[in-house]
Amino acid sequence: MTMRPDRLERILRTLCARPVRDAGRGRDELEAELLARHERTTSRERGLKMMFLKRPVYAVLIIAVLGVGACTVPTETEVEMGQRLTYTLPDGGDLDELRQVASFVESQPGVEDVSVAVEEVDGGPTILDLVVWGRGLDGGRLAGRIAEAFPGLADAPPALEDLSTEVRTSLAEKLGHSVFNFEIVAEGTDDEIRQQILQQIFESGFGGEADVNVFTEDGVTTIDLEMIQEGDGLETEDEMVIEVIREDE
Amino acid sequence: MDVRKAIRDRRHAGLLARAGRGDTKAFGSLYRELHGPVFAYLDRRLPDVHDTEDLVATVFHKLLRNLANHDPRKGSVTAWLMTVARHALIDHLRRGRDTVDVDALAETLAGPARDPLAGMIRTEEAERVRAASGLLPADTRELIALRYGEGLRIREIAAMTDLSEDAVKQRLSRAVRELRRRVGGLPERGGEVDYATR
Repeated sequence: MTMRPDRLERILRTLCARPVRDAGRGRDELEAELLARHERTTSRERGLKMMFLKRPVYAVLIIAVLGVGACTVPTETEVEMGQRLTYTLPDGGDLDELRQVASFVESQPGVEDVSVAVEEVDGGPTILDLVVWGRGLDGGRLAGRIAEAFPGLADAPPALEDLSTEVRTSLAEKLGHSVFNFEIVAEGTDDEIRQQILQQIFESGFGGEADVNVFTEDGVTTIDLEMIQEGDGLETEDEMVIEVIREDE
Repeated sequence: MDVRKAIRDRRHAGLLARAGRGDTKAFGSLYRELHGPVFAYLDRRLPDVHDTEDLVATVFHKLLRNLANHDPRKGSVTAWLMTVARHALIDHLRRGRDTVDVDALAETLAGPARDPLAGMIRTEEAERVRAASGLLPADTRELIALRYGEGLRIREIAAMTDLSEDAVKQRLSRAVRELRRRVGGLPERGGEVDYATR
């Protein structure tokens, strides 16, 4: 007699899905370990999260800080990223002129990149938000140059904000290891950007392991950069994941 | 289309995205939902529960390191994680050996039952199916075990085994037809049913 198909399926399910042992305490212990690690990792990443506004050219600037070593005491390391200048214009502003401001700022010495956001509120002021990436920038001096070039902005001194962050990393002071900085500019598809970043990392002289992943979803591009370099004579390693998110304007 | 699985996949993708943005609570939820299937898959194929626990830890640590790397367009989180589990299992089996023990990957179908009670409720029919399945190639047994043991979908099995969906469907259909023939005297090319597309 031929076995009915559904009967065979039932038997196969019974045979294949045999009981498993109790995961019990191991599951809970692993959960606690993973959650603690997730919390540690993400709190470290938050310090390096940068928001990029959309620009015509797909450009990404990454300033990476790599702590090498296995020191158990975390060290605060300040990473300078640039300046934010926020203008409040009570009488609004000419959009074309505001775009020229961005071009002007971009041409200034030491400026790596500029992101511009203009917010117009009905019946209210216009907010011009300039995020200027680059190290060694003096926000006050930059505002002065802008005021000279654009008299319309001279009466609206900007609010200045340092774009620097405290990075918690286990830099091993006893090893005298320094912060490893580099900048990367890449453009193209996700995969092309990934290749360019990897190439530039190794061209910069980094000798450890680097893992780069570029992923775009719903207009947000996320770049994960993981670099691992073992310290001399140390068996353990320190790693840092840097995430750069670029948002649509 | 299994709507419940589709909803589950969407929920997992959402949890994964939130976890990738630093939401530890979302990561915890994802872990609790996926631990069971991963543990079951590995435990059914490994005799030592400590090995199972070690590999489960390996899989979830890898998930933690790759939270932002999963592309939901390429498949479900479950399929991704089960693929990681399968690779971890292969690595484990390779250790100390030159080749992978494919029978271990196919384990759960033709192997002896771990639970003695399971043996008592076996029917003669089931024994015939078990014996017949033992004659199938190990890679085919693995497909059957993934389909009927882990309850995975065709596309998830395809992702795990690096086969096309069509190839998985074809092999499963052929295997089930072969089992029916061996167990119930079905003519070799008669009464074909496409089980795999269900």
